Amino acid sequence: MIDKILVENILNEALSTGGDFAEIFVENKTGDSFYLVDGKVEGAISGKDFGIGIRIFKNLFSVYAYTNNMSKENLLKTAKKAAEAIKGTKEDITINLIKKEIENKHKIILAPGSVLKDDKISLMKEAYIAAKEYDECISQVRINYGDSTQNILVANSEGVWAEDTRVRSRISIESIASNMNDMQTGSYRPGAAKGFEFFKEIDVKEYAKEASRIAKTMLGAKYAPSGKMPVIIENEFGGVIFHEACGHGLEATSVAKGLSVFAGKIGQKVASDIVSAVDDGTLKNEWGSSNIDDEGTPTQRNLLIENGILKGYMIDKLNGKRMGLESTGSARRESYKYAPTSRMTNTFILNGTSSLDDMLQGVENGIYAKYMGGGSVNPSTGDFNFSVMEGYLIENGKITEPVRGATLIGNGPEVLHKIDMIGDNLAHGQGMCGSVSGSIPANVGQPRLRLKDIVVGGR
Amino acid sequence: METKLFINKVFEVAKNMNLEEFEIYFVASENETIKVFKGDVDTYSSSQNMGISFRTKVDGKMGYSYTESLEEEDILPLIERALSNGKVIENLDVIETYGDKSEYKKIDSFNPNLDQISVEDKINFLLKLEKTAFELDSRVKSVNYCMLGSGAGENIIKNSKGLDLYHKGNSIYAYIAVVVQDGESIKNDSAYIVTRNFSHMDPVKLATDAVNKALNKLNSISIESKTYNVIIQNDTFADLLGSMSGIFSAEAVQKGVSKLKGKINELIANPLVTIVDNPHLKDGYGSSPFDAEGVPTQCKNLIENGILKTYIHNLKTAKKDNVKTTGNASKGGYKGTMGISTFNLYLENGKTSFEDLLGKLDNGILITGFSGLHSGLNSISGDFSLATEGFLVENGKITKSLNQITAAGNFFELLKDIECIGNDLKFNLSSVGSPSILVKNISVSS
Repeated sequence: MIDKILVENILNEALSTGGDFAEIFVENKTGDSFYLVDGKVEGAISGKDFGIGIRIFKNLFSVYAYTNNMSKENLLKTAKKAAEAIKGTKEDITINLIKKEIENKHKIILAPGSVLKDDKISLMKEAYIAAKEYDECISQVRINYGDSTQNILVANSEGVWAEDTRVRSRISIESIASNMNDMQTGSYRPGAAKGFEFFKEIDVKEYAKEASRIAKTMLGAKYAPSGKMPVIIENEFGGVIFHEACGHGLEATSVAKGLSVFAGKIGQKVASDIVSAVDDGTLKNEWGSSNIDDEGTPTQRNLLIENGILKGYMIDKLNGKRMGLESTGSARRESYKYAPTSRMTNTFILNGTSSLDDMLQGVENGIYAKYMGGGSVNPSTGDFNFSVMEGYLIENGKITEPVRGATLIGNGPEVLHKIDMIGDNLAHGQGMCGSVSGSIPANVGQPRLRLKDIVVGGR
Repeated sequence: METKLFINKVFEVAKNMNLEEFEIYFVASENETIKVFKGDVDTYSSSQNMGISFRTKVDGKMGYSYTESLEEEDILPLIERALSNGKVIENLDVIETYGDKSEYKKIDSFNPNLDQISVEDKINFLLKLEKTAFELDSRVKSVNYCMLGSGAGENIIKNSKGLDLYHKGNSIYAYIAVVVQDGESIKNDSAYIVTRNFSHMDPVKLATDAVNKALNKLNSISIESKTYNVIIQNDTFADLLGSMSGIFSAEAVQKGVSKLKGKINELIANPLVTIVDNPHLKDGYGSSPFDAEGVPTQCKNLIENGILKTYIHNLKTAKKDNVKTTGNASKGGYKGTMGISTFNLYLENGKTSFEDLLGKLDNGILITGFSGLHSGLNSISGDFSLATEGFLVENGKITKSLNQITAAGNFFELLKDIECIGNDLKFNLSSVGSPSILVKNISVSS
């Protein structure tokens, strides 16, 4: 993507004013994106993202600059301008770039670039028809298809030269159910770090029908009750609760500066005994996986919580420096337009042993959350919220009628202690996670679990 | 390759290929951000970014592509990708590029003096901002963000019908977020200012604003879960309105995903309510002389005295409805396809002061913030259930901060339930504005 000698020159220029570390991140990303509504392809765009990010450290001070004017003159000018933010004299650093051989753990069978656009569109139509024909009340279906192939190069003054290719494919199905007075929606968005083979491995029609089933169910549903009550959260995307309640608070991004409610709590009990959780960027072909992180460090499986005890954080280089700890391969960024920082990859709670019957037993009034929507968290206070896409009442130990419009709110450190049962059906769901280094693909996951009580915001 | 040269080359190549109709949409921006943490500069970032979007008609259908790489070798793939994408489009709605001779409103969005502020002045501003926050109160535990950013952007639209438009703008902003602690109670809040005039930025005022807002939240109480009358504070309602703004899009109406379908000239809100989209607003950060299709923008009431007056259109949706476009075509930068959005959207001021609104509420809740609008609000049904920050109001006075509540209702019902509108119109960072409003019957859980 870029000449080695030029990279060395850029790094040297970046270090010319006394920086102690310099890094470049070059990205070349292509992809297709299609939008289908009313059964017809309505939008189609393809593109090429190409640019470079240059980062310099001087102790804990960091400078970041990016550009997509890739001329040699401009790149050296950009490095020089970035270096000007540091006031010092050049340190004795010799740059000796050595290419890191990295095993590709995420094999791609059908590269998206080699697949006909017509095949991608046929897939969307299949999903459309399955969703639309599910029921008469389905008034509209919107399908988005997207694939991307991101080639990256990371090189730094410590001699790292690492390259990676990340291929991702995703289809998003949104069904809208209508009657005389109301409209409700249901959606499903499966994705993976795979090529087009992903859509041959899954049954897209089943996901489409499920999206329509959710919309239809919610159309007839009454509003959720409000107040504190027990809640059972299903597996897969239900894991968004851990992502919001705890995951963000374990990113060095907020831990290093002591801004997280989980800062300084390693070795302490932060969750009930049955909770163990990990962030694993190595899972084969999963949505949040990659061979190396965006600083060139190989991804790894990071144990976060074991039997309720806080074991580790997710750490990038700069925050690691502040914390006196090594990177855990957790540095991520949306593109060259963002300086990397520690982020989640595939984050999930490990399996427990409880059955659904165990969980329902003794719940007089509660909520069963079959599918979750998204959520957000305030890492300084730990206060989080997330929405239930498809929920049901639990009455006297039985799941009864559907309810809509429930949002669950709570406080991260508190809610982890309230998980009183965990099932054995761990599964992952795909999402886009937005934070300081942009919007990145991340898996959330969990087995079904029960919260002793949490505030349900119904009406 | 130099930008102008690249644009001209793409134009020439496309012209020589005898394409039906084509358009180049160019966006470039330059930004600088500085962050201070514990008395030191923590981060300095600078960026320059540009991209070109190309669209062309093939058999009457429009295909799009973009590139960030502006080299000779990128020209043909850019055009060819757009052509192949046009071929897969099945929607037969007529899409045209715009080429009418038009008068454009002069919008002054650029202050050349902004470039002249030195990095030292900016750093000194931030150091003062952070220091002030710590000195204001011993309960200030940390300053999470203390940052200043400035940026400039330009936009060119050039097409085969002779359109050749240019617009540029710049701005500077400062943002501070603080965490305060009193015993077990930890709260945070933030304050920001966006302007084109550095002298309007007062670090003491900004720090005081953020610290006071956070301190006021300490030692919060829980309340009974039930229905309350509420005041939704100006920028908080602006956030909700902004998240629902898609309901006005003619595209959403035509696709049957807006509840406003068939409601033109019907009463859909309390007669007190007038909602405006004004692309010509002085100092508005959404202001622009033309939309993403190059059509002159115009000021219009979307809701007037409670009655829905118009949807917002681009050329395609207008043609389909047999009306004139409202000049609301939008593109999410060079990577987007053509959509529809507002410029400066706001609920018009009423006559009541904030103090008088509190008096009218008498007993209820003042809502000062919503979280999770992207998930707790269904922008189609209008149902919302949101994590909410707020205060108890007793006998017309703000008394106690509330701990972890949710507010639930429906946006369309809420428009009808607005009882009184304040005179404190304020815009949020997304160019959506509102005064504070008094609403009855919102479900609150605690």
